[in-house]
Amino acid sequence: MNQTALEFSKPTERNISDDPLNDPNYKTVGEVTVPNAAMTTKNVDVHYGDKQAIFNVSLDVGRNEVLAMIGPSGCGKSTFIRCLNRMNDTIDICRIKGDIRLDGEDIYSRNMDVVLLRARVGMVFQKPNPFPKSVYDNVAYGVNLHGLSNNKSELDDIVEDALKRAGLWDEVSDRLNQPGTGLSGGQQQRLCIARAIAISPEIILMDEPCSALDPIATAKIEELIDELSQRYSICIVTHSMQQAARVSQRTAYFHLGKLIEVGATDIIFTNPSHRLTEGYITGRFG
Amino acid sequence: MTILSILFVLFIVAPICMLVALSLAKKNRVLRNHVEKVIKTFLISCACLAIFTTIGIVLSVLFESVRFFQVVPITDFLFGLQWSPQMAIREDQVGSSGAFGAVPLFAGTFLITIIAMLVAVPLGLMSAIYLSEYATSKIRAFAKPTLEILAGIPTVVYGFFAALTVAPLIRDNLEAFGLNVSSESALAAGIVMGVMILPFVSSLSDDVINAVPQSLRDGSYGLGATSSETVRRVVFPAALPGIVGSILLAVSRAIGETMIVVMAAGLSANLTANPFESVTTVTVQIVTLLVGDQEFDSPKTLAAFALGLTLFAVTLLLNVIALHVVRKYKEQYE
Amino acid sequence: MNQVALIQRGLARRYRSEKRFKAYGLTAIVSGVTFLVFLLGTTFLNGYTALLQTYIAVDVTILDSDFDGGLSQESLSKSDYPGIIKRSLREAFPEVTKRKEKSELYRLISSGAQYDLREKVIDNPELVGQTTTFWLLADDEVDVYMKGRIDPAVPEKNRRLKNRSIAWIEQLRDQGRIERNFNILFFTNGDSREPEQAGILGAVMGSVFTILVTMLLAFPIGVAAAIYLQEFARKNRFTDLIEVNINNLAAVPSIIFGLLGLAIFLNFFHMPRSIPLVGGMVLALMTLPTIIISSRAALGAVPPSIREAALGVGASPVQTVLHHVLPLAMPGMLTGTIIGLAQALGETAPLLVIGMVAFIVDIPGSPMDPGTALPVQIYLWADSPERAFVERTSAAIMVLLLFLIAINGLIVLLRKKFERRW
Ligand SMILES: Nc1ncnc2c1ncn2[C@@H]1O[C@H](COP(=O)(O)OP(=O)(O)OP(=O)(O)O)[C@@H](O)[C@H]1O
Ligand SMILES: [Mg+2]
Repeated sequence: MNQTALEFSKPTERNISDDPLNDPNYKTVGEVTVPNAAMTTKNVDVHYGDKQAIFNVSLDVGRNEVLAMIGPSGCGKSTFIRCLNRMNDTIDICRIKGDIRLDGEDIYSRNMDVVLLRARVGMVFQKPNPFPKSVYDNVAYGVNLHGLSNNKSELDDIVEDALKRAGLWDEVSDRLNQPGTGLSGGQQQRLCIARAIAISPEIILMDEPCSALDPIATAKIEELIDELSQRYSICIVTHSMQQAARVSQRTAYFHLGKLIEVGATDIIFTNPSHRLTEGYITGRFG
Repeated sequence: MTILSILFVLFIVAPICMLVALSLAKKNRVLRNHVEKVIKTFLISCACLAIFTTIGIVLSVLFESVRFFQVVPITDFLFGLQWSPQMAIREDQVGSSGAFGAVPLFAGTFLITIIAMLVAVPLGLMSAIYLSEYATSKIRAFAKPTLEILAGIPTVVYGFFAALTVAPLIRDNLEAFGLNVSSESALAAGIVMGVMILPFVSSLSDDVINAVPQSLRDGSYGLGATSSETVRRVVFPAALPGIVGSILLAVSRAIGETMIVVMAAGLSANLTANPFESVTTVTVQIVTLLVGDQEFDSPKTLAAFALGLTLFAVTLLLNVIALHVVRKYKEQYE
Repeated sequence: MNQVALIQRGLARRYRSEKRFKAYGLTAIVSGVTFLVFLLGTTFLNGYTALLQTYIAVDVTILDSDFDGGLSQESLSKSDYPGIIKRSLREAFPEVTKRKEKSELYRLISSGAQYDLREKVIDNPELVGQTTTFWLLADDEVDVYMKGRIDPAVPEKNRRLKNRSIAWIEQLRDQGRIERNFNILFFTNGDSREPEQAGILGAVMGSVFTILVTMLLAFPIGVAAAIYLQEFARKNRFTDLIEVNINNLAAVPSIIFGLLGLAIFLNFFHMPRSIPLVGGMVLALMTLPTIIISSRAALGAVPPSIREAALGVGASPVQTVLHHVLPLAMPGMLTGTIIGLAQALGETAPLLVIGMVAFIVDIPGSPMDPGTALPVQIYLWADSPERAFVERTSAAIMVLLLFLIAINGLIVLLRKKFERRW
């Protein structure tokens, strides 16, 4: 036992606390900030009632990068990602402290409009959740809400474009008027992605977008994420380390509500600095 | 007294004896099996009573109705526009058929039901939506039980209130606008009935709305929809089949409701769509035909059963459809 | 950034519609609550005065000559007490001489006052030959006037209480000879055509017997049916049929059950009309679905582990259910039964159909005596033209609601006491 613990601890020039879980001033390993970030978060704490779920997390989302968040179940990945577009507002008992900025604007300030924020920071959920409407209406939903099209043909174009970029157009172009719930799981998830990108967000948050899908559908989504990162910043929560390694440029490792380590994906997966990160990616726990 | 003692023995003494016998027969396997057989037979016959009740309803209502239709042709009953059962018992009347046209009753029932639904559906639905999507837990803790109180008040109380307070109030207020309002207007009965059904609609819709998965709401909020947009464009369409089912159940309630209309609606069978006039309903006529001295063979009494048959058939149909729709809807989200 | 501007342009409108929508919801709830407050408020304001009843003090002179058979019990009970009261009234108002005026004067006192006087005289024969001040029950019109519900400004011909009577009442009031006391009669009398003598005891007893019969029938049958369906029935066509049947029966209009009772119990089995026994039987059939459905839910909430444990130690399935599952499900079943009974207590329509609307003065002493029920009494009084019945109807409603509140309190208590989390 002692032996393994020794093996894990790799002191570097930075002072890494060996016991981040009990250290209230634990400082994340690696560079949390990036130049010209799309979104910055500083010292975020999240409480559900009396229970604290996120401890002092700071993490930036770079422009046009895919940022992967990994960590054992219950470590607060979903909680953190839901802070970024204030989805946690819908949970009564959830309280958030800290500073989260989108393009330098504090998203929790009075001046920030949630509706606008969520239009700029889109979200794709774990389970595909198409509305019980037609494929077309699913994609057009956000566009109509925000009044982004002036007429029907403009709307048609937006819908078609979004479906094309989500790689779904070829499969559904002949059944736009059929219910979105009738598609296969992978198609449904791509429909949800199309729905999100139809309103041209700046950032797309994805909370385990492939966990309900089979490997082929997963591969398609991963391909899609790769393409989307040309235009959007993407935060993706995943339980699959291969997935994180395949799609992301940076990876952040969470553990029991703390951000343990963040860094370039290839480095995190080949040469992690913290023993907890190493333990997780080598499959010793998690 | 004999009936009373038979019932007492059958449903109180017998079960107790069976329980005692079961504990006495603990040791003896054969005996125990016999006792258990008796107990199971008792249980099954109690469950079958539900079937017998239905059969009893159908047979009794059907039997008397058939006798009625031997005197009054069924077509005259269903399509006749004249309803005046009082004249029919007089011997010198030339046949009684003309006086048993039930269309005015159906129309009156329909009118009052519509008014009730116009009150109950928007109010009930909006209360349910407000309670499930907007209300703070404090408001919910106060408003929900309050609406339930409304549901627990006996209908005779609503009837008295409608006749004594609401009807004069409506008449006096509308007469100020120069409208001619009957003191037994369909409007008063309908409004009060609507309030009576409101908690029914609201609690059923509440169930239905809560069955819509949170993930759909999340999807909508995640795209930047406001609460009302989410409710109107996602939750409501998703819950629509269930809501329609609930409304059908409420309609069936309104059609079968008796005391409010007996006390607040009229007796005269006017064929009108004017809510300010007095109309009569199927249930009102059943009660008026049967209250007071009655001979069982007069068409007047039998007519009540024919009306009962119609009422039973219509409400049963509505219930079957509604329960089916609601069940299908709930399965969808399971 | 064009996008942001586009969205922002629509925001004000969207938030306005959000506010409006929320306001609709709040309005809906507020109107429901307002209606409830309005209903309970008017009922209370109309009804609380029924707790008081007007009495008039009259110096009654009882002469020996009123009793031609001496002071025997028989002659005491047979004497012309209305005549005695009339004579005393004439003496109190000597200026009244005309026939019409006299009969108007007599009408100040309730026709029920004589029974009260007779009782007192029989109890105290020494009153004979003396002049004693008696507080006699006033007529309902006097009572209504004393409660301020008759407006003297209304033209005399539109009032039943004429100006002359009002003058007498005011005279009595000045003399301190008119007074309102607690209306005990309302709680101890049966029904009556005269509002001032009408009480709810008959109706309450009728309701008690009706609900008693309902409970004794519906509870064992309902529980037994639920046990069979939930614990023993195999899933097949027949049990499906029973289940669909029960769900639909729960939604059949109550008046249909009245028709059933009329056709089967009264017409076919020739049971007497107007008795609580038949009423109870009809209401039992009506509440059965409610009881079965909630009892099944209570049984379903008992975790399977309990059944497995009992079966494991060698109990037969019947023993398992009766000895182990049933006691655990009992609170839930009781709650369901009480809910059903509360519903039955407020039910009127089926009772009307089976003839429990007869005018019955006597207080029923058993489920076989003709009687009515509290909600039916409300219906009957609501139909009566006398002004004084309005307050009595409202008061009867208050009594009915009090019963229902008590029952619901019982349900809450039961739930609190036996609330179990598995
Ligand atoms: N709505 C909530 N109310 C209370 N506590 C919550 C709520 N949502 C999450 N939590 C708690 O917050 C902590 C973090 O949960 P979160 O869902 O963010 O974890 P996660 O990393 O996304 O896990 P998973 O990988 O299983 O999705 C958990 O301990 C969880 O129990
Ligand atoms: Mg998660």
